[in-house]
Amino acid sequence: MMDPALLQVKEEYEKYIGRKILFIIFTSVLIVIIAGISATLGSYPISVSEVYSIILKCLVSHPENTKEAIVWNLRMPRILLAIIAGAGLASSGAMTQGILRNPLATPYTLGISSAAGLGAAIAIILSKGIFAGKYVVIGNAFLFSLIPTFVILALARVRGATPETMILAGIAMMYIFSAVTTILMYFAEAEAVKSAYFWMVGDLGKASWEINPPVLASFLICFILLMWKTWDVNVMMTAGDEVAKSLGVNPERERIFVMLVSAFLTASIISFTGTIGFICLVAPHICRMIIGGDYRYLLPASALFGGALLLTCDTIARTILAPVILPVGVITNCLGGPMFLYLLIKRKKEYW
Amino acid sequence: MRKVFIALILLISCIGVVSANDYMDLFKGDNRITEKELANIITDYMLGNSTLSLNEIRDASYVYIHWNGEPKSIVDSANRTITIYKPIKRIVALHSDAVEALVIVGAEDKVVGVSKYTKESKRQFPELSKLPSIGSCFDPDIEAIVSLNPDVVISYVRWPDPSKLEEKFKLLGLNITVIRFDFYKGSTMKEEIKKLGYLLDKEENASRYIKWFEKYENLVKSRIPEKKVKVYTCSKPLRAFGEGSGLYDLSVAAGGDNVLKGRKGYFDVDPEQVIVWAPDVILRWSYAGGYETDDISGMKTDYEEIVNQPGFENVPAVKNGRVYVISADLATAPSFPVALVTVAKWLYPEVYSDINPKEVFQEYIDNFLHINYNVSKHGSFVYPKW
Repeated sequence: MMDPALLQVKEEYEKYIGRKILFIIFTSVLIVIIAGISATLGSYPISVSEVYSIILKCLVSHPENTKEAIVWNLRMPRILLAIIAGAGLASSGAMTQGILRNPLATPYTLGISSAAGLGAAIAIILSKGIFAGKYVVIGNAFLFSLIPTFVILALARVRGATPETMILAGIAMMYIFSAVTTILMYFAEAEAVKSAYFWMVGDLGKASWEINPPVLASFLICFILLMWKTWDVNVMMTAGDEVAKSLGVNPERERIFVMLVSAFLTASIISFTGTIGFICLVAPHICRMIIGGDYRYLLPASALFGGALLLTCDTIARTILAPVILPVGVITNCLGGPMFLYLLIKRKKEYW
Repeated sequence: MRKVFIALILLISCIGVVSANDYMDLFKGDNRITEKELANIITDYMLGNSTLSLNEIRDASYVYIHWNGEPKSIVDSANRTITIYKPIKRIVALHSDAVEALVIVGAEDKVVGVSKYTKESKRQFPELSKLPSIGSCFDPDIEAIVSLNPDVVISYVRWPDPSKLEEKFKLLGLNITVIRFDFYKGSTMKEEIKKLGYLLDKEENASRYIKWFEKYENLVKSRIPEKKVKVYTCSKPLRAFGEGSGLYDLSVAAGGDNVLKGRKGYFDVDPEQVIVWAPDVILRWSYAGGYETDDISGMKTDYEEIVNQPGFENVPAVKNGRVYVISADLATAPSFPVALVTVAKWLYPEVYSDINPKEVFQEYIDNFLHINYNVSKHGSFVYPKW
């Protein structure tokens, strides 16, 4: 026979966990529903029932006519990329906030986006003609976006990997890379500058069955690695470095590991899409307000919510003023911002 | 059962050998449609065993008669060889400069889709602005383009990125030819119009435009004086438009000695530097004017910003009242020669006393755009007003 007090604690804990699991299930269902709606929206006239029968058919065979190709080769890859990119950016945002113990931290705070922007700008400006440089731009953006991470890594070896050092170094790097990009733009021809600007705004228009698999693979691997570290991040978040050490967690090592994985994940997404902001900041916060700061649940919840949010925003971006396609970043800011503020006002207790 | 199946396959493959069962088969081997091939497909059709549609047979006959049976090839401004095997019937023009070029060569009846910018140009393109929109020329809606079922899409050389245009058509398995022509640069304009005329069988109209273009181009070239005036080109008072920008090229083509020589692109300059350069003329680019507005106040504001720039009162151009604002609508479009004589006259008014740029513009509108539009009454293209 169990002690009734203990039984009550157990019950409360189960309730506490139940809510988190419920949220995760809810967001998963939400993604499926939004994806289902998104697939039916577009300028090419295809009826809702046709869309679903095409999707079912194309799961086993190749698209045979224009309608089928539009659904399967145009809409589906874009929907999937929106989910993967949203999930990836939100997960790396959540983890970066955790290891740096800073609610404002994102992978972009570590200089990743401005470095990627510089890499893309260099490739766009130096490549001869727009047909030569497709993979050069992606590759260069990816390589450059890893530079800040390695600089922070080197700095951490000398000065120790404290959150303050990492954030300040990241911000310094962000300014340096933006400055170099600006200087570079002065020497480039006007048309290349415009193309580089378009790259930096970021969108999901490049999605295809060809580029989705590498992004998905990178997301899955990084996500599993991040999941593996959620216990340690929990300890570091709540107990601080000193106590974490006494509990057998090496905060500096964990911090560097998580940073490397998050940076790699972010880099592999934005080198295909360009910089899509705000998701990595706002999705984890919204989830934290709803289900609390336990990373074992917060990480998957952020990923799912980030995917749902980016998919919603992209669907709105490409349909609200159709055939004019808005940059998805505009919609993420317009939608995510007020949602964030609302939750900030409504929250009952300190959530961070 | 298997024997029947094999016999069936043999039978089907035999039919394929007998006659062309695909339009493109006509070009196999010799890359042209011969009289015999044409006769074959016509008789096949009459006998009711043709796999070609009547439209395709019509196209083949057209190609045989008008193109000597051969496909047409050009190299577009993105340096790609474009070959067309059928007369072009449906065109989506992603940008307004292409719409203007299509009007010039007299192919407006072939345009089936335009960008949102063209849709806003109701005065410049009274008919074509009513066509369906495909969105922005920098990030077009592929589904909207595809639903218009075009043969050809004309886009800027640099935008949109091929991953958002050519590659999407490839993914959809569609045979839509993308031709990349800018139609906004003075340097490539004649070549592009010529190629467009050739592809659309409108060579006559194209050469009429090119002759008009060359008339003013040569006139300005022949009148460039020994002693050139110094010009400074900008968008804001301190935002210089250097080498490679449209305005810089225009100022040099008109015979100006640009103080920004040797400096590429767009950049901010030190006001003191402008005073040291002491330009005789300041040219400013403006996005405020155009065909669609009669309100000159936007360009006037642009003008006043330069005249009132602190320190500029000592610049000869401001002192002598030689500051000019020109609309991008006029200068970065096939109306380029109008901008050329306009700027040339600003630089050397005494040399061009016999030329009235406004009349040159009216000539362009009447002869090439075929719209009822009086530049003395409508639009705002330059400040001070002409």
